[in-house]
Amino acid sequence: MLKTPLYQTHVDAGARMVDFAGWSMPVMYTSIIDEHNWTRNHIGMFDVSHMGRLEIVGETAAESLEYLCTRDMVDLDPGHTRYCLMCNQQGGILDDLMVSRLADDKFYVVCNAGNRTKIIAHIENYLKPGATMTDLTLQTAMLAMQGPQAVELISQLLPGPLSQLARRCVYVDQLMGIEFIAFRGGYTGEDGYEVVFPANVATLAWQQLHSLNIDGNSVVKPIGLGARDTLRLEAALPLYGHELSENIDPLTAGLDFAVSFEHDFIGKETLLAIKAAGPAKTRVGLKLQTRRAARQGFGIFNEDRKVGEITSGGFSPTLNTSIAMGYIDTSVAKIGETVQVEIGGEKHDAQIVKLPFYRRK
Amino acid sequence: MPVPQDRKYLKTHEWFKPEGDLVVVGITDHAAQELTDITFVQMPKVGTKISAGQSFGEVESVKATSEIYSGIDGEVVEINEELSSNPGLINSDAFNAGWIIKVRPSDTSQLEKLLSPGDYENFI
Repeated sequence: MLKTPLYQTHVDAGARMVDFAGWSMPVMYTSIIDEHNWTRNHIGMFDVSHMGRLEIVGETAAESLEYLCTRDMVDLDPGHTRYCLMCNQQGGILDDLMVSRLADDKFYVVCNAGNRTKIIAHIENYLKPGATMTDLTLQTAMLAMQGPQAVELISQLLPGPLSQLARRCVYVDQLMGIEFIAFRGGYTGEDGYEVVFPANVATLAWQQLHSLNIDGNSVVKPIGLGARDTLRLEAALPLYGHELSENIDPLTAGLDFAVSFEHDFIGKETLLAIKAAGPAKTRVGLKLQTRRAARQGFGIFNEDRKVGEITSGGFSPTLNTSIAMGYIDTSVAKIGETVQVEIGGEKHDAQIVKLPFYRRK
Repeated sequence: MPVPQDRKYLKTHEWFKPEGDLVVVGITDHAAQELTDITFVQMPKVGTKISAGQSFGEVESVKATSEIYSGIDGEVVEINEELSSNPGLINSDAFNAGWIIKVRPSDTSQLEKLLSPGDYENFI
């Protein structure tokens, strides 16, 4: 079992630790619902050091990544980040990733913890001569600061470029001689940052950030993976192993914005064919009348005909009801229509709603 | 925290408290804390016959769904309606306000076979 540099900090804070993708991670500190609501109103601090961090360097780094990713990378300006997918030849999703260009010949890739080994092997297969990859995951830590007060807090701490950083941008700087990389964005539906530090200063950084306040009020709380999941579900952000897998292509997943057909990439031919025919299934959001969780694998029905399956679902603290995402036949995927979800042998009405379920003000 | 002494327990973390000729059933505080925030309780209808060793409902939390087991045979005479809108009562007060059902037992001697408070505490 792998441990992040903050493992002991979490245990000391009384976190409940669980195995997640081979890492021992905090699922909660006090209460998933309280942590969820805190992030929606203040600032949640997450240890996301388990995610894979890869540096790709060299004069062919951009063109190597351009062929690997569903979006253009050659024209990505230094200091910018793009969300994209890596697919197999059949268009199946190998992973979803954030790719940032730190310099003309230097890229930083963040991938899912559970896919790190697979993605490293995949990238190595397609790296052109002149580009090299380094896995920095174990020598660094990554923290996410998410919530409506995050930008205000960081502006107080580091006035200057970091507070001005635009969304989907990346910034590299030093603080007391320690290099850090900051990304504006996140995985909760809130504004905020994700910051990478060397592993040996992770605990110090965590403690310092935790102790920050606004007008004397404590605003930062550590948040576990449990609330991270309910937050991303409300924001309708797909999760690998649920909405995304090698059996799902980006168009079916509704991630058209992350696919550019202007360049050559692995899986392009299949995706062009799917685009021309129209995906047979579509990712939809469901709002149920009950508080019962519609969990992964539960059937979705339209007048007794099975039309799909749930990929993620649970009680939404913000909407105070059960919500879910899943794939259903495109022919019945109409906003406002009612379908049924089978939970424990009972069918429950669910309305197909526009995603995301939650959008910050 | 010591568990209440006025009732019996199951290893699956349910409690059974005699109240007149009825038995009140709930899940323990330990179970509630393990489950984390409870978001839904699936309760049987009044009049349902339940049996020792059988599941009569489910407790759902943000994380997971767990069955609730009975330690006695009997008929459900009342359910805690309050839990439909406020299932978190089980998290805040598992042994009192967070009760789940009241049962008219068919054989009160079955209670004696369940775990004593001391045995349950040793178990957890």
